[in-house]
Amino acid sequence: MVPLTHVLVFGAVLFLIGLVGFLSRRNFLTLFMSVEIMLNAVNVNLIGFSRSLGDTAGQVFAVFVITVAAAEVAVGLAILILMYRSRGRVLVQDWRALRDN
Amino acid sequence: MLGTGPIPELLPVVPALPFAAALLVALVGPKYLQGRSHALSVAAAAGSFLISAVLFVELLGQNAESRVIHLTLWRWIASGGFETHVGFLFDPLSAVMCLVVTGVGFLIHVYSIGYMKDDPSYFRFFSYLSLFLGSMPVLVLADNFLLLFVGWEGVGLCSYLLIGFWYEKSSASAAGLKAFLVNRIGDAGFLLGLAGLAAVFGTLDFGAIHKAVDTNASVTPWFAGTSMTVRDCFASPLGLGITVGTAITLALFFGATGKSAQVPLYVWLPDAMEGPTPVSALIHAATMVTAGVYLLARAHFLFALTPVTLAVVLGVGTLTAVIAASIAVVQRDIKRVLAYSTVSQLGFMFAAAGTGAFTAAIFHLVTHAFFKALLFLGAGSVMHALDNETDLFRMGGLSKKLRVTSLTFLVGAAALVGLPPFAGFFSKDEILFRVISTTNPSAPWLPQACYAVLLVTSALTAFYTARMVFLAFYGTSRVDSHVAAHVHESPPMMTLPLAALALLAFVGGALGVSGVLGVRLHAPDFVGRFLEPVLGATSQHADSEGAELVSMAAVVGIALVAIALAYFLYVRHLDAPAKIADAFSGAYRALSRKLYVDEVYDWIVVRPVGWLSRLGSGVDRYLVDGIVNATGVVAHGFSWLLGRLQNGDLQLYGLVIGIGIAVILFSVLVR
Amino acid sequence: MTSVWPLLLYYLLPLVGLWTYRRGGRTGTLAAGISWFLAAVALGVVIGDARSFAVISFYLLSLVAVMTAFLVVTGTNPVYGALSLIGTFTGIAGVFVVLQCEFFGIVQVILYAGAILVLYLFVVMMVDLPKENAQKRGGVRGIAAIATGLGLLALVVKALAPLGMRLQPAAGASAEPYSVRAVGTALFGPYLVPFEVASLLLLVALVGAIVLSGRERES
Repeated sequence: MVPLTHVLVFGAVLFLIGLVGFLSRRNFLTLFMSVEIMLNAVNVNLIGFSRSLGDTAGQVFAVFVITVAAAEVAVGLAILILMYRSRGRVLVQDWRALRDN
Repeated sequence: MLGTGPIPELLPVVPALPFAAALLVALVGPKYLQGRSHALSVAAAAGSFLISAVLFVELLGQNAESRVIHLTLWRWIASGGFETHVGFLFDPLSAVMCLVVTGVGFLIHVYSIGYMKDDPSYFRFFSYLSLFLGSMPVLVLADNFLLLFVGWEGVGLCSYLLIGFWYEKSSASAAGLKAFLVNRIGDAGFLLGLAGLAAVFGTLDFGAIHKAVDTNASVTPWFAGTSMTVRDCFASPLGLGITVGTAITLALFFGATGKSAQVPLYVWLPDAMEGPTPVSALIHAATMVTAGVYLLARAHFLFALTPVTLAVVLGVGTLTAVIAASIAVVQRDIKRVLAYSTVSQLGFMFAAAGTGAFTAAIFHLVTHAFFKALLFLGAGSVMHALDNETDLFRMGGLSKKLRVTSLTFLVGAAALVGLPPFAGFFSKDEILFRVISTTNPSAPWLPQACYAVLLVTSALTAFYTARMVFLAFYGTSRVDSHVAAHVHESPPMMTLPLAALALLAFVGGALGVSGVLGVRLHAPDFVGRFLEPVLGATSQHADSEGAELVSMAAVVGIALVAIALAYFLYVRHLDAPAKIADAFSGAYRALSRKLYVDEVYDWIVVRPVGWLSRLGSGVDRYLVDGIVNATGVVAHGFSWLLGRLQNGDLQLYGLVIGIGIAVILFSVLVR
Repeated sequence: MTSVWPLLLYYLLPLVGLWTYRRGGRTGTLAAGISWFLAAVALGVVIGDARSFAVISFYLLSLVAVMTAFLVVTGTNPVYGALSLIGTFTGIAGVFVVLQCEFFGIVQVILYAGAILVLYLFVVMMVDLPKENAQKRGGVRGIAAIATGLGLLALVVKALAPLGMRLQPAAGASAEPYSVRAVGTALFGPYLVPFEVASLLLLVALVGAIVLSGRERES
């Protein structure tokens, strides 16, 4: 059987690939995909622990993660479309509404 | 035994009834009760009095040693080694107090129906009055010092509320504030005393402390850390020649001087006359101001251990008595005369307590409650007739028109002066004789000196009382003509309580005939024997019968001379007092300005505090606020710097979070 | 030293190879070949003698997921990125199946590879994105991101290393907890309220998406 640590290392590698993508890319669509990768990495960890501990809670939480991911994608892509309509491009540097003026 | 049956459970009802009435009247009074607000309050007062009477009868049914009804309601505070319960104690001492409080309280409630009629805040008055009548039994019935303190503060609050009842008058609200603040000073002393008691005994329960003192038990004071006997602990020096016991009892006594208007804290009581007259009668003559005396009697076993404090109590009481009496001589305002008279009589009670004659003090408290309430209510009746006129020199010749009032007032005045056989005679005589026959190891000369001063005081008492009576009720009328036209006797609602109190002032003295008169007349010293289980036996000083008779005769004789003098001055030669005042203008002015005590307090207390507070406000405004503002400026600068970092770049935020997690992980994993 | 660090090499070396290969040239191809060889050696060390079909499938499928994820993150064309994402999701679904959570493998395929990716592709087609300028990525920010990612990875693996093999599947754990029935019982039993709240969240997201993207019609 596959050791739990190996599953966790797999999850960690996946997560950090997603993280680096999120931090370095400029395209909003790519950022969303990076976030999806990170969420999937979390799911891998949850399933791995659920398998290892013999507990269904991990899988239930994975269901919730998927739900949140779906909601995030739906709203996020809607916003992305709005961005595109107003600017004609979807680059991160155009969106700095978090700045305190 | 009393633990069973419904009787102990009645105890909390005594304060609970008026509290409930106060709450109800306050809630539904303004909208629904209005002019009928008195119904609830009076009913509650009557109920409290009846329950007190039932309990009193129950108490009489027991043999003298077991006359105690005790009920512990619930545990209140449990902190470390210190524990206090909410509990009520009904022993002879609290029984007497409770009867007086609820009885006189009931009569004054009835009187107020007539007196306060047509007042726009009728319901408010009765709500406050019921609140007071609930707080006072808490004070009296408490089985520990802390609950007593709760009642103590409760009545203080009611006093403040009722003095400032007519708050539209700035002098009334100022007087209420003054009473409250002066009482706070005394309460600080009281609290220190309580802290000292708690530190020594680990409890504030009367019974527990009394037992510890009586058996000289071993206690472990918090400040000492080692265990020692109570007497050793009380005798251990605290510095400046003061022992622990003296400090505690002095602190308690200081609290009593605030509440009972003794030197140096008596200044609030004369101003308290701004309140409605029934309030003056109930709170500032009969009940609340005697709480200090009750406190001393309650803690008599502590005071008995500290002769120095007793000497101070005796001295302060005597000093108060003479100062207040001499100021009363020149007051023009009838209520202020009575107020200073009250202060003076309270001085008598404290003088009695200072000689260890707590029974005499309580006896005088009871009779004083009767006749002083009577006098105040009589004065109120006069004011009622004269459109709230209080100036004695604008009265005169009222005895023909106000028959009931003048007659009852006369009874009260006779009791105050101490003419036999009125109530005041027995109690005051008792006090005077106890003062001369006592010995105080810490100040051997003091009792004799105090006796002399108290003799002078009783002469002054007779003089100002007679002056008041003559000016108000006899001689020629000096009433304004348009007021004189409709001078009328008060309604029965007011005269009936007057009559009842007059009866009590007349026969009340018979309850406690002691000493030589008791022996000669075979009169039972009812009060003394009833209080004996609590306050100890009244020594029958039969060996000095002659001396007592002489003392008695001297007091009465001096009083008669003073009355004759007053008659001569204020009925026959009304212009003479002014001439005398001119001749001794300095003394007269000093007395009429109340010996400049208020001015002195203003200079040594109020103004320095004002300067200090102005200094404090300056420090606060410029130094403290400056520091605060500087902090703000610095924080603002830093936040501006950090704000540069918050540029809205989402990825930078993510990067910082990532680096942060890495740093945390690093610090956890790699050491 | 447990078998964790070789596993890390097994995952990362192919990525280096992929990266150099993409830069082109003969050196790139050579470096990629060497990387692949070393990764295979590392895999041998990791697997050791546990040679079963399931175990080997885990390592192969997880490598597929990691590499496609790398392509998603590094690629310049969003369409290719979205397509690579299908590989990632499918690889992860395979891993779930290997871990005997077949239900989740299926959910993964249907929801992610199916629904969510279709949504992505729709959007990519709709907004007609230009190719990202290669010069705009990288830079100081990119280097900092990569350094942070690698540092975090090293730290996480260091934290995992001492665990070794200890957290192997619970002894005597039956297959029951991972069955569809078990998950369903849990979802509609103790987790009923959160489950309903999650569905509410989806509803809100649905409404939000419609409101946001449908605004043009009003104006």
